[in-house]
Amino acid sequence: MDPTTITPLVQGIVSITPGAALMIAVGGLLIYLAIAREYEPMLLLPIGAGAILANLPLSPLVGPDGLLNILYQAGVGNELFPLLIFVGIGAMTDFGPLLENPKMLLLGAAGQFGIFGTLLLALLLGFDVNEAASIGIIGAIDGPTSIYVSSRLAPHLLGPIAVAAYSYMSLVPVIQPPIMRLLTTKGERHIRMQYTQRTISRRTRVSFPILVTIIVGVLVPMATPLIGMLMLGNLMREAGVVDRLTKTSSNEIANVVTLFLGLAIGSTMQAEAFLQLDTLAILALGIGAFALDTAAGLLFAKLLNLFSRVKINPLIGAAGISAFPMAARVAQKVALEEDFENFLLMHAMGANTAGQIASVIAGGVVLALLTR
Amino acid sequence: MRRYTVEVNGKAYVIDIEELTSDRFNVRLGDQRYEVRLRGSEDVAGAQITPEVLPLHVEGEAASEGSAITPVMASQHRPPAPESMPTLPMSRRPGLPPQSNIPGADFRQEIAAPMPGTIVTIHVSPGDLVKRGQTVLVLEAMKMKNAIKAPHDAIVSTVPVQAGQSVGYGHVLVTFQQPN
Repeated sequence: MDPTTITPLVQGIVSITPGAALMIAVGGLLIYLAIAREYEPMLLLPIGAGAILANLPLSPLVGPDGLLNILYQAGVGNELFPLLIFVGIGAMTDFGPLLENPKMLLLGAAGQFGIFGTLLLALLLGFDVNEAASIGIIGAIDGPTSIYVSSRLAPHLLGPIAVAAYSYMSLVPVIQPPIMRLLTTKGERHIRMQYTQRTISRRTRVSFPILVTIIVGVLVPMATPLIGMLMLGNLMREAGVVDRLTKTSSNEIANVVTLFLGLAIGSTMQAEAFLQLDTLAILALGIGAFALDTAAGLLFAKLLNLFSRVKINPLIGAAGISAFPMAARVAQKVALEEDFENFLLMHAMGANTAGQIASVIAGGVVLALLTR
Repeated sequence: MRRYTVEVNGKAYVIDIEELTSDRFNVRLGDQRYEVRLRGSEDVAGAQITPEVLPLHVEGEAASEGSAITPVMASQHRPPAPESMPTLPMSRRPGLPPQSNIPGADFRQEIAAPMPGTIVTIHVSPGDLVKRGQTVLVLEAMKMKNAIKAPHDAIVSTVPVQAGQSVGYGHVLVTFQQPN
């Protein structure tokens, strides 16, 4: 038989590179984590599938007119998808616990320390400023914010950063508790916090998203897209007159965009770009960012206790990150291990939603410092 | 410190309340001082304030009683003693020894909802003997299931809630009797 007839038939097999094969395995691992371990399956499954589809030999999906490429151009390259997801998150989030106890904003701010700590570490490891900032943003423990920031500052690192942000988000219950136990005393974990039920008026609930958008938008213009979309979703939820929009944002739009976003992120995980020493460094720095956030939150809560007569349980300091609602649940779980009657969930939820707002602002601050 | 001046039957009384911690307060009524613990606080117009009195530092004439402070806010219409210093009429519970001397004074008659939520499942029914730490029901709050456990060994007397019911903060979930 003429070899020219056979070549096109076996071009798939002969085009497999070891790198691509390894990336297919990585995609498989993500899918395994999603299915068997249920680590953020909504995201890791599409990301894993995207990685496999993009690394199959000569994959038309990543060609100029390929589906994955179109998705990337349509929503990741221009940051559209993360912003649409924020509308959904806003529509799902109840800021009530934060409004009941606005002091929690301080803990949310402390929970962002990991971003800046990690940024410095990454600079020391030789990443350039934009890359370091994108890696630091993993410390926001917020997938959409990480994607938004890194797609503007360091698009070539998008794959590893998204994978780190999302897989660590699902590892909150594994990573946080040891740090929490290490940095607090038994007595501190036993602190009970009075739950004061305050009825938050509808006017307050409706004004909150509008005021936050305007204040944050004026102070940190770079954060306007993120906070604006988050608060738009929340405004629709609290307004109570656009139920259909709220439901669509938090279900249909969020789900569709999550699928597209996952596939597009997965497609950035091509062998040449992903199989670098940098990727390992990013994964390691990401976990460091996370640990720093947790430690900073705990220590800051302890610091507040030095000045305040109303003691707060430092465990809720660890909830001042964006991973919602896992971080608050972890704080509650650790507290219950010590004292089964210590319910601090509502306080932890307050700190947690504060962490969501603070991480968005931190993302805006980083962008403001680095884009010109 | 916060000073409330209330008028009962045309007579003004001064109540000084000093916040010690988030839930402990020093309440001064004339020459009587109580240390009270706040069990709940709600912004509901017309709600009754029923703090739990700790028998720790009770000074003044009520010292021997350690009585509940509830009646301060309740409708006591006894004419006040004819003194120049107005003192709120306190209800007396003659013969009631200080709380700490009652055997099982720590016995809690009920569990109240620690936060607003929905009852998911109920694991006990009236008459059941429960052990300390045994789950009596599961309360879902902020999409998290929370096991509510018995604070001590007790017999369940009533379960005034049903699965699926939404409860507010402080809603009584289970009441107990002391086991013999």
